[in-house]
Amino acid sequence: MGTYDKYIVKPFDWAERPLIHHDREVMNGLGPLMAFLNTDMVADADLNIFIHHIDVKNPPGPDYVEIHAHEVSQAYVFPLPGITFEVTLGDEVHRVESPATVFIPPRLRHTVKIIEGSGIEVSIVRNEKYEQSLAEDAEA
Amino acid sequence: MGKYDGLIAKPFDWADRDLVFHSSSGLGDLGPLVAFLNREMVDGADLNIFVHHIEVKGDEAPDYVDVHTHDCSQAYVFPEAGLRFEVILGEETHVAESPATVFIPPGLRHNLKILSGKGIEVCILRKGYYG
Repeated sequence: MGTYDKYIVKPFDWAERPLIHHDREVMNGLGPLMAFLNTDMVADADLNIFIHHIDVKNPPGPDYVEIHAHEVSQAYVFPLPGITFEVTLGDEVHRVESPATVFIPPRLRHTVKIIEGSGIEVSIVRNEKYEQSLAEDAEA
Repeated sequence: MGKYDGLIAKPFDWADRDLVFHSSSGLGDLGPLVAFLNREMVDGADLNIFVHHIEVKGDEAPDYVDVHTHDCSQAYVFPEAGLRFEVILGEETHVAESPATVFIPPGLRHNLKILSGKGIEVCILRKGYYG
């Protein structure tokens, strides 16, 4: 065992665990949500990273996340082509095709919906635990 | 044009642009390095994100990055199975297989070498520019 073994972690299926503002059953219907980094995995991590494996079998895909905001910034990264998604930023709705990144500044209300396709979405929150980053009184 | 159009960015091939501590030819030999987020792509971004499309074709994978440190944290994320890599953390050398994440706290010396396989690496730096 080395001093830094703790910084190399294996992802795990978030499975039935809750994620505030998200309908986990509907999310799992699109594909598994994998935890890649959080403070339970690495105690001093200041990034929270999930990867959602997505396959929309009956487009358009379902709604699964309420509009919400964080006290810190977030990015949705769709690294590969093959997914069409809709992102709400404040009171604007944008339809985008992957590959693409959406940067969400602190306190901007947002949601995302996968319209069609298959691939992965990398969600990065610039904080520790996802729940600790939430802002309950954000403005549109 | 909406108020928030500028928050949605399309990636681009970093190609021959410099990346401090990195050999662009060594990186390029493995596959394209694609910029997904930085403060030039999105004004005010406080994350820097690259996606490296990797395929190790020969027996010997290239060294392409010097041991270095950052003043903020970083994460290497390997989303899918199929890559084997070596990471230096401080004085330790670790070999790991994807899928995996390597978290690098501020100030920790590190380096990365891809040993074999094919896939993508998502490199996330907790500030808006690399360097």
